[in-house]
Formats: sequence, structure tokens, C-alpha cells
Amino acid sequence: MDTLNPGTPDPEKMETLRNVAIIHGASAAMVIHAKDIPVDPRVRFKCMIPKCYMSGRCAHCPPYGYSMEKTRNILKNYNQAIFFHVRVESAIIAAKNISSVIASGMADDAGNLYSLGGHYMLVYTLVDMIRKKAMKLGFSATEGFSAGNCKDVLCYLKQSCRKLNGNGKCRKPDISIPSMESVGIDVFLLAAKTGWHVFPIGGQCEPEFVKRGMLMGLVLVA
Amino acid sequence: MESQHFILHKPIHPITAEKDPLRLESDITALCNKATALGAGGVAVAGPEDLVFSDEIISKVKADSNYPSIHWPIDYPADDLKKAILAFRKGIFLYIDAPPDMPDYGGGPIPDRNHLNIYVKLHEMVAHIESAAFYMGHYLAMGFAAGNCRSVFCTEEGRCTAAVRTNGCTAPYKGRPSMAAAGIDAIKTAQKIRLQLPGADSSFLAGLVMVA
Repeated sequence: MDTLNPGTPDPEKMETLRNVAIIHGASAAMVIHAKDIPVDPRVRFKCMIPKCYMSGRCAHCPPYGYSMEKTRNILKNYNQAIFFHVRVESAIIAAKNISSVIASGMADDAGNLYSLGGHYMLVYTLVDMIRKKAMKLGFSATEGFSAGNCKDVLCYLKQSCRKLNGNGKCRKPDISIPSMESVGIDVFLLAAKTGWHVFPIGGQCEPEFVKRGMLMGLVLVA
Repeated sequence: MESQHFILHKPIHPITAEKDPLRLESDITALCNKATALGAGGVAVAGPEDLVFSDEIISKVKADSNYPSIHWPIDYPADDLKKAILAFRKGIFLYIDAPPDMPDYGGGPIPDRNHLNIYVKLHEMVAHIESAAFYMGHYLAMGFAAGNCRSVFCTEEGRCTAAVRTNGCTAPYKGRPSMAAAGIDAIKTAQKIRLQLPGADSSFLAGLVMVA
């Protein structure tokens, strides 16, 4: 379209990418400007203080993974992004003891661990689908971010992250990506700015205390 | 088993794009009251400009590393903890009284059971206030206690399990780094915020929760 500024992605193509998210399972998706994505040094520390059970156990999770500087440099290279979320019922994401179930890796009788894992997998899949579609549409570069940690989603049955503890090679290099929070993107603030109702859900939370939960993904395109 | 200190703050507030200064003031007051109710000997509000950082304290912590843990000394080369702490606008500084005979254990073991319980109490208090702040919508809240968390919660462990790449922390809901490990001079900070600390014939442990 000749109304576009140089370097600005075609709105129709962005809408096509947004629809990829919606058609394949996202509860909502938005086209956003890369410059509006907030980064904050406190976010990576929230993985380390107090120490998340995955901190230091996955190559993408702090203290490993992208530094703040690297994240800022990546964001500079992109104009726009698809930001989406997958809704998770509070009965699953805030299920009693779900935090300890996740940390222990022992499946629960209610099936919440696998159900939550399925939601995470959907986020990874959507990011991958959007990136592939973007390349088909002629975008020259993409960068994807998911939610949580890739080890639990993609290598759940493996004892440890092979990139970190093994031969240095990721088992799933085509789909494994960092989460937004692991690189210092303030995803809660971004969601709130987008107009989505996001609640802080931690280990003490229970389903009746929050209306819903959501897992979010982001694909930068240029 | 979780301590009784861990009672979920309700209602859980949704996260907002803009921070309402009046609500932040009200939340800070509520958190200060909570600290007092949990047994703090003194509580005061601290802004980033009040925090006194000291390279000397960090060097002292690094030198005292015969009993290392993930939080003692803090070693995150890709990240700047001071920068992160200074990104907050408000925090809560608190202390709890300790027996006059309690020595400075630094990062080492705490063999005296009574002294150990005081460290546990401070860690639980800090974790509780941090948790309450989180559910108030201040999701980046970050707490600092005193001493080495390994000395407080992992006396039975041969090493800090969180420092092993395949393992996790045994006390993630309670274990917090100390102000000293973060390079914060607790005494000078208390002086700056005009919080009266116990006298020379007394002892205390101090904590800090940066809220928003």
C-alpha cells in the first residue's frame, strides 16, 4: 500500500497475522507498536527474588537468557508486533496447590498440570504459526516470545535443560523461545495498557479470588 | 507446611496501567500496619533516594562466602540489582528486636535456636508483606531480609539446592536475600529515614520490601 511510511508493516498483513492468532485459539490479539513494549530491570529480578523454581534451570530463564540490553536492542529493530493472550480458567491456573504441583512435576489427579501445560503449548504454537506466516507474507525478520519457561512445556519429561546442562544444544531449537518476562518485558503492564484485565496470580492464589488467568505471547515483525 | 504468616491478601486487585498515587499511599500504609501487626519493632517508608548503597558491604559479603547460597553473595552478572531497586518509588523498611547477646552471624550458620527463630521470623515477615503487596497489584514487589537464607532455612542441606542447575529452592516462599547482599547499608538507611533503631545495648534484624 502506498500510504505506508517506509519500514512500516502493511496493516492488512498485520491483520492477517492477528487473525492467525485468533483463528487458532487466542482469546484476543492486538497489533501493537514495538516502541510501546515496556521493559523494566525489576521484571527479570522477579524470577530471581524470590527464586522461581525454574530460575537457573533453563537456558532462557534468569539469570541466563537475554540481558536487558539485548532485549532493548532487539526491540529497536522492530516496528510492530502481534500481542495475544490465551485465557485460562481460574479453576486451572489458580487451582489449589498448582504451584507446588508444577514445581514438583508430579501430575495431579484433577489434571490441572496437563491442562495448564496444554495452554502453554498453545501459546508456543501460536507464536510459531504467526512467525511462519509472517515470513510467508514477506516480512524480513521476526522474534517471538512466549510465557513461562520452555523446559516445562517442551522438555517436560526430560530431567534437565540440555542447552544448560548437556551438550549445549537445545532439544527443540525451532520452537523454543524465551518468555517475555524472562527478557525483562513488563508483560503485566503491557496487558493492562492494552486494556486486558490481568490479575496477579501467585502460589497463594485460589480460583475464587480471581476472575480469570491468561497466558500471553508476542511476535515482533519487521 | 506453610506458616500461619501466609494468609492471602484479599481482594486481589487487577493490574492497572497507571499507578494511582493515592492508592499507593493507602497500600503503603496498610502494609506498614501489617508489618507492625506481624511484630515489627519499627516501620518506616523509604524511597529509592533514602537507600544508602555501599560497595564496602558487598565486598564484605563476598569475603564472607564460606557458606555460599543463591542469595549470599548475590551474583547475577547479566543484571544490575541496584538499578532494579532504584526503579521502585516506595518501599517499607522495618526491623525486629533481637536479644542483646545475638552476634552478627554474617553469612554463616546460626547455631543458636532462639537466634535462628528470629531470622526465620524476619524472613517470613518480609515474604508476607511482599506477597500482600503482590496481590494488591504491585506485582514487582521485592523483599530483602537479613543474613544468608541458607543459614536460616537449609541448615540440613549440604549445599544451597537452588545453586544446583537441576534443582530448585527449598524455601522459595520464605527465603529472601539480605539487604547486605544487595549492598544496602541498613543502619545508614534507617538514619536517613529517621527511624529510631534499638540502642547500643540491644540488637535487631532489619528488612526491606520495595513495593512499587
